[in-house]
Amino acid sequence: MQISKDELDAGRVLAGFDGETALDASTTDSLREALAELGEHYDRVIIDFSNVRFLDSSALGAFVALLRKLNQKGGSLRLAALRPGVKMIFEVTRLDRVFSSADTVDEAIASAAAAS
Amino acid sequence: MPAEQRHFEGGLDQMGDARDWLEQRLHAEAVGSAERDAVLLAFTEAYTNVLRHAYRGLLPAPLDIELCISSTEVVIVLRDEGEHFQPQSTAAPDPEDLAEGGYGLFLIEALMDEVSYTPGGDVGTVLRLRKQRARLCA
Repeated sequence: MQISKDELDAGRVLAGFDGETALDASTTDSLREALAELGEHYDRVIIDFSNVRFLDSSALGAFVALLRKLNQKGGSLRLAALRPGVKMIFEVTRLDRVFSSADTVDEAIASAAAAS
Repeated sequence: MPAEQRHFEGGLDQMGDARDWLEQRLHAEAVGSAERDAVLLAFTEAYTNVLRHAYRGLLPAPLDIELCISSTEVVIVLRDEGEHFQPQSTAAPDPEDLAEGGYGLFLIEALMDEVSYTPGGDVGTVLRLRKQRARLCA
């Protein structure tokens, strides 16, 4: 699992996954490490999910940890371009109520800019 | 429809292979995308639970998987040889609590139409998951 980062401006980053990615318990340790680093260095994080083809509850917990971290800092987290199967886990757990998401990366960037 | 069977002994490294096999079979039997996504997620949560709770992370972790796909349902049976596992609570965490865990058992129950855990004899658990297939026409 590889995460790429594109700094949009000071404190704001767009992160995405390189290549088709399945996020499950086998990748959770490295995912948590990568997301913790994002939370340390940035206040406003946008994550491009377009390459994520699968996500389980172990990976979900890593994103919750990042959201908690950013909330504590007064920052924000936006998820973009979730596929239906990935969006489903947020909906079934009702975590879609606490995560901000957008259909496209451009929409997520625009809404993040408008909110800042 | 005869059941297909697969045997796995590895840990998390083999879980992706098992999920890929299941996904291919669901595709081949034209299971709809919503049901397919639900089955793949519930199966992954179940597999992870077997490794964490029945085998407590120890290897080898033998797991026999039986799959039967008919025109009306998908049935998956997972048989392990670890400690018997019987979940006590499958309630979902409150989303406002931002819990980092505790979703797995809830997801299995929420995504499947039937879930049963039965003792596997001297050791292990037999976990049966059933998902009804959507009807395309009346």
